[in-house]
Amino acid sequence: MSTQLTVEQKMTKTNKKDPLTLWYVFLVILLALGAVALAARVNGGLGTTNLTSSMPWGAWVSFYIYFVGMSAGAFLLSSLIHVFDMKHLRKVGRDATLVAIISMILALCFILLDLGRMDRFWHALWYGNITSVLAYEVRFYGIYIVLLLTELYFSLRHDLILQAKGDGLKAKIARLLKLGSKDATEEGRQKDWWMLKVLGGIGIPIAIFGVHGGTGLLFAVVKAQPYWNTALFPVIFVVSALVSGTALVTVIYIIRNWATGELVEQSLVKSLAGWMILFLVVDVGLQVFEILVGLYGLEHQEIATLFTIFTSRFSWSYWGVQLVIGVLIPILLYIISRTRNSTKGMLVAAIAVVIGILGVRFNIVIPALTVPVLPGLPTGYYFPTLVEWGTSLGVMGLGLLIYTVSARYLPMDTKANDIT
Amino acid sequence: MSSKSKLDCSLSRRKFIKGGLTIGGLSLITPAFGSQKEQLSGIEKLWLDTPHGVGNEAEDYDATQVIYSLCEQCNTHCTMKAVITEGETVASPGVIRKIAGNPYSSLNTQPFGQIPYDTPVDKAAKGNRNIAVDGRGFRGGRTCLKGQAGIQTTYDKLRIKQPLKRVGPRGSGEFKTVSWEQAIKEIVDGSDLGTLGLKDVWAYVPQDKVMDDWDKVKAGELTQAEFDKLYKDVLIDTKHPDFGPKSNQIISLVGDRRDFIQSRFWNKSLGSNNTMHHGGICGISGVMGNIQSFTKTKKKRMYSDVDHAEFVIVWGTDPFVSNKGPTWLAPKFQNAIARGMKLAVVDPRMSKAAEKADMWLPIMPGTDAALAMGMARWMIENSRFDTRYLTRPNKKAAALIGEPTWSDATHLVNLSDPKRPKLRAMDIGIEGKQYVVSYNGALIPNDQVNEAELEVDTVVNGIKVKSAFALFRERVFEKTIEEYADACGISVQQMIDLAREFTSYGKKASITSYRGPAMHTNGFYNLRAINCLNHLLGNYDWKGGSISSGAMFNRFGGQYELLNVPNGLKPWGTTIFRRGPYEKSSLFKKDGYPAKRPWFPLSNHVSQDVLPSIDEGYPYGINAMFIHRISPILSAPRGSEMQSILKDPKKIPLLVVSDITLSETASMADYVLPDLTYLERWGLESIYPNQPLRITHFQQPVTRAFEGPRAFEDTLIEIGKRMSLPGVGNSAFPDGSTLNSAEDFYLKLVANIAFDGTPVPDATKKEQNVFIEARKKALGRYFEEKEWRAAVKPHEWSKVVYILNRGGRFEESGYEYQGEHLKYKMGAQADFYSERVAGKRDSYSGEFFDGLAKLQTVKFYDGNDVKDNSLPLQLINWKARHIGTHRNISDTWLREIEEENFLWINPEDAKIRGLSQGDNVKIKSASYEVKGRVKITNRVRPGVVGSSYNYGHFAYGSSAFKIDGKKTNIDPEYGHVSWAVGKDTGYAGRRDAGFCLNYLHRADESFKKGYLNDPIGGGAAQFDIRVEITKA
Amino acid sequence: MKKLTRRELLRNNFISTAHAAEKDETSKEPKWAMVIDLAKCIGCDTCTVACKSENRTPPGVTYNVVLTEEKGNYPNVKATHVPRPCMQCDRPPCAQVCPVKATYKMTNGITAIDYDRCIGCRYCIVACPYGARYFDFGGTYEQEMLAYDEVQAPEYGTQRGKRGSKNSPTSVTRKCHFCYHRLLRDEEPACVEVCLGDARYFGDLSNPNSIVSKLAKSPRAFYLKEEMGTHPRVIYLK
Ligand SMILES: Nc1nc2c(c(=O)[nH]1)N[C@H]1C(S)=C(S)[C@@H](COP(=O)(O)OP(=O)(O)OC[C@H]3O[C@@H](n4cnc5c(=O)[nH]c(N)nc54)[C@H](O)[C@@H]3O)O[C@H]1N2
Ligand SMILES: Nc1nc2c(c(=O)[nH]1)N[C@H]1C(S)=C(S)[C@@H](COP(=O)(O)OP(=O)(O)OC[C@H]3O[C@@H](n4cnc5c(=O)[nH]c(N)nc54)[C@H](O)[C@@H]3O)O[C@H]1N2
Ligand code: SF4
Ligand code: SF4
Ligand code: SF4
Ligand code: SF4
Ligand code: SF4
Ligand SMILES: [Mo]
Repeated sequence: MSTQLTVEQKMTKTNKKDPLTLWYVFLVILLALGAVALAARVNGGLGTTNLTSSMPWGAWVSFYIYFVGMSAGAFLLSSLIHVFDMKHLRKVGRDATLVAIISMILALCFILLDLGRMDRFWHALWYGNITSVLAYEVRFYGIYIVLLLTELYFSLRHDLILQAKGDGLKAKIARLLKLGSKDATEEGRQKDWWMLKVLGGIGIPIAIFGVHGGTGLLFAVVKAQPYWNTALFPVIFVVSALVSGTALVTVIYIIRNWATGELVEQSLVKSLAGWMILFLVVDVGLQVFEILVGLYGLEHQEIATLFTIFTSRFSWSYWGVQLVIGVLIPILLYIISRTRNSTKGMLVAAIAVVIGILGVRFNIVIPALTVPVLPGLPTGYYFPTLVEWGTSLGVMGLGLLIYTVSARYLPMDTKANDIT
Repeated sequence: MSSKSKLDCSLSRRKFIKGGLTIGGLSLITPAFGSQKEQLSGIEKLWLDTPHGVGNEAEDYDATQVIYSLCEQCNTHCTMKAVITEGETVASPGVIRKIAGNPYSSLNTQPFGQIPYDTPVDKAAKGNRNIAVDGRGFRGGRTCLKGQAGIQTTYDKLRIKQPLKRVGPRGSGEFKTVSWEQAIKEIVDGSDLGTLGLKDVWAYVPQDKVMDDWDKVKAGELTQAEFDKLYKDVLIDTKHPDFGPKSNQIISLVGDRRDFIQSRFWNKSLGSNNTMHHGGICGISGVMGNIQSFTKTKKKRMYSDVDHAEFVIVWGTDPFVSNKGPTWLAPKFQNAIARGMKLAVVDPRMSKAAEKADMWLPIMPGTDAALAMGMARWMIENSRFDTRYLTRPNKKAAALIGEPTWSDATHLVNLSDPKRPKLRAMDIGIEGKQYVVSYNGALIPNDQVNEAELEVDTVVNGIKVKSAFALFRERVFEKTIEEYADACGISVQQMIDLAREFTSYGKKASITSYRGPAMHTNGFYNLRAINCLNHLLGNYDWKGGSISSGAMFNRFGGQYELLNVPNGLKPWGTTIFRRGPYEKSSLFKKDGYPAKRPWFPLSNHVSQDVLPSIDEGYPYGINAMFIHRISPILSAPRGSEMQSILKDPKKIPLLVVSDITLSETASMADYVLPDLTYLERWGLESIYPNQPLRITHFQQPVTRAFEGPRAFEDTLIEIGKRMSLPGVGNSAFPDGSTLNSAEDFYLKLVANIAFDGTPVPDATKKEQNVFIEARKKALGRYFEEKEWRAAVKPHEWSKVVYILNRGGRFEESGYEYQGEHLKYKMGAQADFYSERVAGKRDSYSGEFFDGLAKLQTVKFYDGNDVKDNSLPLQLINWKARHIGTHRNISDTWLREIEEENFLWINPEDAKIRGLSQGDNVKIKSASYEVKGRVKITNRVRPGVVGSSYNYGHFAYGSSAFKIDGKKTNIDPEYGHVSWAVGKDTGYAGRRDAGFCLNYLHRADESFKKGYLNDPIGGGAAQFDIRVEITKA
Repeated sequence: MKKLTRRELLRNNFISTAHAAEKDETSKEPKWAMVIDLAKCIGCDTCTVACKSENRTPPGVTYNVVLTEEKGNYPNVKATHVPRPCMQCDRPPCAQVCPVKATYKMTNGITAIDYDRCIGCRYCIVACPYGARYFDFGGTYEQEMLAYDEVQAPEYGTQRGKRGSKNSPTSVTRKCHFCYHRLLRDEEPACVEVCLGDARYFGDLSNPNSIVSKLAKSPRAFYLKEEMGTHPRVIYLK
């Protein structure tokens, strides 16, 4: 093991500077692209998208629910770790929390981009509507982000205090972020664990019911869209959130450790992947129920939606992205013991899931809307424009940047946890 | 009808809900609910909120913002109301805010009826009813969708704003702007384009003088050379003096304002016989078929008194969409149906009328006579016709039994004369020209008996005679009902059902027909046959029967003789499309039969043959052509060939087009003269022979979009002055008044209307102020009060204002009927047999036409059948509900309704050809091929395909021209996504979308550059095109 | 932005309805409704264009459409036309989901949109079971039509100036509002005024003598998609 470690360390060390610069260059390109697209978007309004009145929601909303799901999933994972003391997974706890925060920021960026009147985003908080799921939802997102930040704070606090000692940028940042806390004792740490448990306890229902279940509810309450309008829909949202959250945390864990030359714990990866596959199987099962119930109802609009998903010119996103990449490949990789026991194998599986769930999100939003609510109304057609792709890449670039910077300057590596 | 009784009607129309409520097929529809609760439930209160984002600005208006005028978005010419608001971007201070119907006019207010004519204008503008209860405020009435969108015709940014003069060869698409003065000068005096001036080519000589001298030539009293010398500068052809003066070589093809342009200027100022309106491509065969079915009247159209009819056959027309017109007929029909009236529709495709009909008879196109004659046979066999009516031989006798009209059924026809005229009293030795009938076996002048025998077949004085009815009966008995059914593709049962229904309501059954049966080579005979069905019922002038009123107030006489020109010229000579009998022309003497091109002894305005005749130079060539508000490149057969004729300066040395935009035709011109649109000018078209009340309406200026354009009348007046023609300028009218502008004509016309019968009241001071105020707001400096006032006499002014304030003169409602009859009656003779037709010859074969209705196949000019067996589908066409002719394509709101003209095809025919919905196809006729897209629908008969004809532009703002070296703008693409056009997305297609149906028109190879025509009716056979469809 | 009292602030958020509801009990203002007789509707789309010209809506925004369905085989074929304005639902899914109460019910039965409040999230478009809502992407007819931008309709009784100016309702959601501004001046909605089939009726459903009340009692009366529970104020007659 140690030899392997040194080799990896060497590799990362020798190439350290170049890949990182390349990475930053890559991020800058993404951000620049996003900025250009954003300028076009701000100037031209939603006319720069391929959205229409018959296809009112598209890529941005899909990305929005994708990242809300990611956030909720990652958070749930971290909370499970804390609340149920899944010590062997603690190593990814911070990553999970950070991923949850960043994902949520991205989700909000996407929803902001999607607003016809971005300048009025504050109306969403200033005004409300007692019957609007979305009105509750924006408020939940607020609470949820605060909660996530608090949680991140407590999981970092101890290490921040340690990191604050000394000079340099990292220390300075740590001093700023430790918020005056000085208690670096073990007792303090235990308190932190306890806090995390409590926060996780509060957070789990918020994430399940409020954040992602709620986001699912946004869709599920729309009776005009029978494909969405089922009680199972929010549940599937939550489960698929767990799938994607776990997958992303797995990916991040592996890549970050590779990048920083840390040890990638095979057993941890396998365990994460196990959870991921478990969630995935449940998710697929629920979806099968959904489809069967939908078909069985013989409701015209719902069947038309399913047909759109299965047979339209974009059905590759269902069969290819959602099923083959998102389900078949990861499950196969997990079944085959050689790949199951390989970090790379599981990395591929997790990446496949991350991509697959993106397909899931697009397939939730778009096909249902292409089917007219009344026969005779126009059939929707949609494919994102360059502006939509550009802004989306930009937003994701922003997420990666935040993560990279955080990973660099915050005590994300959780060596200290090994002690317990 | 009050709204209450109306309501009752709608509720009692249940028996008409049939067809198993297919709407339930929309899975979204679920059944009714109980009583309406109006108390909000607790849940519902959740979404109440004190109003925010809501204000009190009603954008209210008063009478000073209202001008009533006339719509010309299609040739129906409904009354209408324009509401004006302030604006900065149009030339006038007022912008039209919204168009609606004129509440004073019954044409816009079905089924409620108009508001009283004496309602003060300020009150009318405010309305008078409670919308909460009545649901209507009666501030405005109905107008169709095209009428609504008319604003976009006027405010079309791609209009032309200055006179244009061609640069480079004709049709090259390059123009430069010129001043009005220059344009008129060059048109009159000639130009550097090489065009001759009107002055140089115009010459007139009266007919009498020429013909006297010509008689001398024929008598040998004058030599041809002497004659030539006398007349070579004034006659078209001294060998053929009957062609008339050179003024005939200045010709015009005209769309609207025909009274001014044609009757007055062309005929009497220019002395040219050659001024044609659209007739031949519109409905002339139908008109002629109707006219020749009556004596002592010119009944041009077939309409039903819908309000009281029990049964109506709509035969090849769509009164809910086209005809004259939906604004008035659609609500009438809907309420009649709701009341219980039954409707049958004869149409190869399911028109909108057919959708609501009790019977849809999808006939094989062009076989209408077979259906009519089959019905007639059944009616005669089963004695289901009005014998009492038919046996009355004259007006008086008919009146005795309460019949306002009578028929020629009993009149005898002289079969021994090859012309087969009706037998006259003098033929049997009695003095007089009366028809002869048989009564108790004795032959008697028709005015001397009250009853006569229907079936007569005898010989008198060696003359073989038969009664008109006997001839008709023989004719319809030539074929069995089965044979008729077979010929028209309607089952025997359906044919009988239709005939039985038709004969089950006494006089309250009738036929409404128009272009469908008419626009065929056999159109004239089809119409004759259909008319005879009405004859058999004798339903004319009956409440609920056939209506033929079209009553109007006097427009052209009374105060001013508007169509008289002091020292005016009298046009004479052969028209370019050869109206009248061939045999009387000097060409007949030269060529004999067949004539090189068809002659039309019984038709007029054969517009589709004008350009081809010019091309052939038959009967003669021309020197100048004016085209005004008509565009033959799209609307006439084979526009592509029309285009090449227009392009040829050798054939048309001067081509002037009056248009509002660079239309397909205008873009071929030497000079394009930008006219005012219908919302900016005066005009007076109105074709409504279907209204029971006296109605007279006209156009008046409502707005002005651009500074540059001028009314075409003004241009003609200028031309007339420059050429020193009579009838313009000073003393242009018999009373000595002047004609210097369009106002001078139209305001006098309004004065005529005002003073007809009992003159209308004077406008009060207040109304006069409203009038001035409204014009100032709407027109600003385009309203010249002094000039307007000067156009009429001072004492007439306030009455003129009264009428202008109301957009016309409308007879009070409640006087539509006298007892069981319509008030305005035709009171004429219905003819089973037309001697006028029987005496005219076909100019190809020299054979006489038939005085009876006749079943005839589709034929070429030379009499051979058009077979085209390799083209299995018959192509018909119709008017798009959302576009009027080709002149609404600039209206984006209308283009949003449907993006192109889809080709309807039955699923059966589509399947054979492997077509699926929306496929691109090639449509190939014997003469041309175009590309289109299919709409697969069960609403068209298998074997028949069809489409609306209103698309296919390639100019009109859809392509760029060069004006003054600069490229012109074209219509934009709508929507930020390319796939969202049409299909109820609210995004308009392009102006050049769809295909031009007329390109497919069948050529008639039996004469030069000819197209299938009806040799009698003179109409273009637009529905006799056979095609094959293949996937593109 | 004008200052808000605390009460108003609360109202902005969640509890305004009770307040507004009080007014509802007492007021005698009409409760507007429309009846469309499908047996009379000929599917001419005159209503569609009347609405365009009255409300001067931009390209792509068509408050009223007419949906045509063909049933059966030749020659036993039927065509039905269903004009679709906004149903002004009494239980409006659009208002239900609007996060900022930009869409709400007025006591006169009209479902209003506050163009100044709408954030353009289009949730309501997704939620409307009738597809009656349109997003204003900012298009114009001005390239083809004089004075389009200049002359705009005072929807909801508010004149917002030229199209494209700051206050014009672009980038928000729009829909049929029963021609609220016309009602203010005693004119029936534009689509009712011109309807060629005489198929549209309008009036106060709370008045038993109104034409709409009478027609609503017809056994032919039904709602579109009644199973949605939206309680529309547009009643169809089959
Ligand atoms: N929307 C609209 N309205 C218009 C116009 C317009 O362009 N658009 N134009 C105006 C003008 S200029 C006129 S002249 C009138 C014309 O009014 P209509 O006569 O009503 O007009 P068309 O559509 O030509 O009518 C032809 C009908 O006959 C059917 N048809 C075709 N072939 C046959 C046949 O062989 N037999 C029978 N029985 N039916 C057949 C067609 O399917 C169609 O329904 O409409 C006026 N109103
Ligand atoms: N196949 C087929 N052919 C048909 C028909 C059919 O049903 N099927 N219908 C026929 C019938 S019924 C008719 S009436 C004809 C109609 O045929 P047209 O009379 O040729 O048709 P419009 O579209 O009215 O063309 C009028 C021209 O006048 C211009 N114009 C419009 N307004 C004004 C104005 O105010 N002033 C001037 N100066 N010009 C103006 C327009 O720009 C356009 O170029 O088409 C006939 N052709
Ligand atoms: S039917 Fe013709 S004239 Fe009448 S409103 Fe419509 S477009 Fe105008
Ligand atoms: S029809 Fe649609 S937009 Fe109109 S009130 Fe109902 S849900 Fe809202
Ligand atoms: S688009 Fe506007 S009206 Fe619709 S839900 Fe969002 S904020 Fe409300
Ligand atoms: S009521 Fe007014 S806003 Fe609604 S569809 Fe009719 S015209 Fe348009
Ligand atoms: S205007 Fe009237 S008849 Fe025409 S489509 Fe609209 S509702 Fe139907
Ligand atoms: Mo016509």
